[in-house]
Amino acid sequence: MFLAKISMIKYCLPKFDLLEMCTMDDKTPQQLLIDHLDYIKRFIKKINNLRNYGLTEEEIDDIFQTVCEKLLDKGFANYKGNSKIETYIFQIIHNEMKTFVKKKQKILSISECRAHKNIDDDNNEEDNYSETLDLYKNFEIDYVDKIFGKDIIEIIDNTLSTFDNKDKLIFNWYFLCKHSQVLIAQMLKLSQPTVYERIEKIKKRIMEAIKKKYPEVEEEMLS
Amino acid sequence: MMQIHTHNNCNDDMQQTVLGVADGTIQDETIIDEVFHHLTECKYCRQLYEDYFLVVEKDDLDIEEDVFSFDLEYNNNSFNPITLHKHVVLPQVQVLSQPNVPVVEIEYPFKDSIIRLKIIYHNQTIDIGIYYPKNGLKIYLLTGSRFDVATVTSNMASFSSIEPGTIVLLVEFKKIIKINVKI
Repeated sequence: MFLAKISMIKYCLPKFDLLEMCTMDDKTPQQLLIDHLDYIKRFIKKINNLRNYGLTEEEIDDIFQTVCEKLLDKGFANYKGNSKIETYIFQIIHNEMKTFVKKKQKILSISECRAHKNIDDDNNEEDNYSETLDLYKNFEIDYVDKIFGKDIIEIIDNTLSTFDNKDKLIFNWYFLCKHSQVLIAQMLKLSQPTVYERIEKIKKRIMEAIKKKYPEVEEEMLS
Repeated sequence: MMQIHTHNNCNDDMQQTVLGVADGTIQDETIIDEVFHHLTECKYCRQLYEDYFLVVEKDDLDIEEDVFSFDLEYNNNSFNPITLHKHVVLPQVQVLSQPNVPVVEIEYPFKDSIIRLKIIYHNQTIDIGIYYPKNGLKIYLLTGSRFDVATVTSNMASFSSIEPGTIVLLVEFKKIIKINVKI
């Protein structure tokens, strides 16, 4: 099927008028594609590793083919220069892989889906704090999860709503995604010590909100 | 709290802007703040942004190279291979029965067999003969000005009158053979 699509592109070339459609540095879409073939293949494999998609070599090749097809079709023409060309290609690879994995998941039976829980699923996007946020370790309040779990999560939610955008993202990336402070600093264009300070403030504010409603938490911790 | 579903206003333009902030192309603080705000609301873009840093910035994963790249130089009426690749089984420079026709023949392992490529210089252009024992194999030719396809029939296929420069052959659009011909 993919080969057929590519063949169609070939026969449609005059319609796209690719030779006239120069994009960057007067390079044709074909030339841009040639320049980035290695990059495309490499980053499909990297995202596959990173997200544990478990794609086979054959599936990786299929995605590679679709990405090339999209870039030659209108992909390069839609590039607006808001980012580097490599970053734009990364966006197309990323989107294509998510679409591919979604389609693959639909084909899988329910039981198979359960066996592939590592695969990212946008249809099940609930950020489940009780699973991903380790309250025991991060807040050292052993007993709250037994009794007040849901209430604590509500307090955290309410406290989060008062944070600025960067603190919200730090909370998500540090406490939920477990990313390093160095990586978060890069992502937010901050220094690592600044990220550390913000994390400490976030912890403090959440703890204060919890203690305000449940003063016994502090007594429990002290004891 | 942080929104957890994909934001309704998210679109291709927004994704390009998000990645423009990620790779440093966008320096405008106002736009950066808008992007950070969007990231708190759109899980899709948040993951896109994270993945950019995890994959693109940290380019240290050990991934096996897929591209077979081969450099040739035409000089004194002959081809001189400049670089070789580990997957080339028996690279050699051959001259056919016609003594004045420069030819390079290379062998590329593919699916338990060998694709034999014969690269021939002809009037300032390049002809490529492809020999493979199984019929039906599709080979795509991609150059800066040309996109073409040939199917192996009777164990062979060919492309003719290719401009020198970077010539890419995509075997079934999966395996990449990059030939740089310098004249």
